[in-house]
Amino acid sequence: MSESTTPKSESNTKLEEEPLPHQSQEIEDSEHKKHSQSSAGQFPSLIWIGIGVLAFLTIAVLVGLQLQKYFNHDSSSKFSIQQDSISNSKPTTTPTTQPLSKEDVLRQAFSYPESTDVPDANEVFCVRLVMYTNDSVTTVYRYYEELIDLNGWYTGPVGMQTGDESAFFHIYQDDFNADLYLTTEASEHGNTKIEVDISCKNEDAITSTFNRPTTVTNVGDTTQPTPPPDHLSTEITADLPQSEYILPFSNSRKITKEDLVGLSPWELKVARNEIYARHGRPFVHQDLTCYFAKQDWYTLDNNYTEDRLSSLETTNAVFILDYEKEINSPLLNEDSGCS
Amino acid sequence: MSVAHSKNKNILTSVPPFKLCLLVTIVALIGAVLALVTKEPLWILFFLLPAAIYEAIRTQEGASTKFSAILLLVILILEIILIIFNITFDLAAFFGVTEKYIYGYNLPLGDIKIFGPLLLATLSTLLIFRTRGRYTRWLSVIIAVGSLITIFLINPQFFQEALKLIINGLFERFASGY
Repeated sequence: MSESTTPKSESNTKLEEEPLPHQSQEIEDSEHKKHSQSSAGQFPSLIWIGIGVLAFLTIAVLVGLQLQKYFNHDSSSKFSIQQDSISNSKPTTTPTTQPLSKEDVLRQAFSYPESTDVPDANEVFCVRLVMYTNDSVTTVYRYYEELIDLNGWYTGPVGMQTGDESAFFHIYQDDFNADLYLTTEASEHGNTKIEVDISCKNEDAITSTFNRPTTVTNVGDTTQPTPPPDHLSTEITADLPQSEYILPFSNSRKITKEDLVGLSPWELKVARNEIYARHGRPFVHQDLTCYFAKQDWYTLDNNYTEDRLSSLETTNAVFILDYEKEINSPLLNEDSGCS
Repeated sequence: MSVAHSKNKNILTSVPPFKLCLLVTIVALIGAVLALVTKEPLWILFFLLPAAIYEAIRTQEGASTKFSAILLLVILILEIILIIFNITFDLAAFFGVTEKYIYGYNLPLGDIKIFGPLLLATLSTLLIFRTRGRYTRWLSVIIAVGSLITIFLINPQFFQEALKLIINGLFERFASGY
């Protein structure tokens, strides 16, 4: 028997007999060794694959972040353009005023036109507004919907209850969060209550835009709507005694923002023009003509010229005009006509 | 493993699925940590891509599960594009409703950048229950957690509402015996 056949015959013998324990252990060990060798071969390649994937994804994220910064720069520059346009509208003679704080900007942005602001003690939110209006919840809802659309603000859940008796908005921006609640609540101030709770984020940084809708679109409803502008001056003038100035000191001292906050758009328009009216200026806008004609102190002077105004009066008039622009007063260029 | 897979000689079949799942889990975990540290959702979104791609490849059974897995990948890619290019789109205004019924959930509509991860979380939760494979289930869990992290980073307030939504959905499914 040759040597080469010996192992075979031995193996044949082995096959016919039960393998000995140590021999089956050897077979198992050799199989296990093969498996672990193939696994061990896979393991380093898996690590390399993992490292490659991580490297590729990291590069992709870094590129994405750079692109994101580039595209986000465009939207943040919109606010700086907005700020520039506000600051550029001021002439050099305007007294230096403090720039609007973040709270002021937010307060103005969320103020509902022609609403009554009810003071509310607050220690939690950086801005809390409680306003009342005679407009319906639906009308107010549409206004804030437009406000959000105009500025592209991120919103969470928004909705209106069936029956249009209440509605809510949740706004989430990088520089602020706002929760708005609209409820039908009859009170001496109005039929609809607007609550705005604003939390400031990122300290004083302002990255959002705050464009405001120019008009309130009344949605057909059964509740009493806000009167259209041509009735507005009648209601306002009816409340004012006929011989009173809105700002009696506008020709004697510099006007500050505190003097103007809280005045309605009509009152601001009158306050600005009464500076001219003191000197008998004739007006182009019919609403002003009719209003001042009813004032005891107003005397029309057809020879009126602009140089009758003192520098203080000119400064104050420009200051009020700038403030009207800041709050996007709807009556800035609007002639609401005589009643 | 199906016959088709056994005959396919590519890396996905030569490497055991356990190790691949472990690899994508580690990648997703690194992405989650980086995202939470830098507060940039792009990290987690990009690092979820391997899991989403592998999920789309692995999911075999059922027309709805395969479709969901592919849709999940598409939404993930779209979300990355939306965040990079700062695209805003109000879905509530577009549809004219405040919420939409999708896959058994009433999802609140809002800006699409928030709705995307919410949809991801919903689809991955769906896959957890609908898919039979333990690896696809594993991958779905990774994607669901990654989506919740994304929502948290984009909108922390809305994260609580999203979590409530998902947990309520899970309770309902447990109650109905999914």
